[in-house]
Amino acid sequence: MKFQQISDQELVHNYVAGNEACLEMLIKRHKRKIFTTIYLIVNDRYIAEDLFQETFIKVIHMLKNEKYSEEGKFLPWAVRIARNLAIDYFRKAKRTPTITDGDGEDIFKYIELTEENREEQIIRKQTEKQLRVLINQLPEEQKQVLVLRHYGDLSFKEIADVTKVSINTALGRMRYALNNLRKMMIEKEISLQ
Amino acid sequence: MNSNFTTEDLLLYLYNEMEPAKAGALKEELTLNPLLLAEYRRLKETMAKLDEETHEPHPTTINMVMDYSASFYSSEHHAE
Repeated sequence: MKFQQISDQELVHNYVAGNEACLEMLIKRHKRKIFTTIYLIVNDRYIAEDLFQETFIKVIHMLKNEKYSEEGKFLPWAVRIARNLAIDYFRKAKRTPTITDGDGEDIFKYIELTEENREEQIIRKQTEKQLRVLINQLPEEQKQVLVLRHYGDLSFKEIADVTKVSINTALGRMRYALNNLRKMMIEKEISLQ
Repeated sequence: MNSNFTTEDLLLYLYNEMEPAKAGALKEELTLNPLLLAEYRRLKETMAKLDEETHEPHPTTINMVMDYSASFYSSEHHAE
């Protein structure tokens, strides 16, 4: 059976049964969504690496101690753990998310080799950085919905539950987030194509 | 927008969260209502831009997680 055909539910089941490779498959499948969610919340690559690790330590504990009961919904469950850890981080540090860019990119230049030429890579990285800055300029409640829906793959219903608002409020915040982001991109002359 | 559908409906549709019957009706209205279609395109374009912003953890971080998992039962045993 091909990797893509194995469901998260099966991977979780086989991992709990002792197949360590299944955890690696789960991580490979979801690492971008989980890590991007954390990174956009904390806006610091070093902290995001730590919180990603903490998220999976918690995941491992819950799976191996058979405390996981949301079979088939691994990603939203893992994203909720990640989001809670990211928010706890700010509570413990007694600080709020900032819009500064302390991402430590100089050290973590492990960008995958692609067929892009150097100029294209530079432009892409600049756009990414600009986009991240813009996302961090959104009001916190809009940013949270945008990050959890677009990167974390939580449904609007799940976001409403997590953030303790109605689905309509979550949808309204997403609408404002996308509109505001679009306006900022136009102002900053970031290509929308 | 002068439509039976709102921007919030478009968001549910674009994120595949709309029930099939309503999604079918919205899809049909998109072919008839240029204002709704323009709003749909605006949202889709912005969402596509967001897809360019993805990051992944350093391989070392993943290795540390895998090492932790492999030693889980022995570390739990020591903790007891």
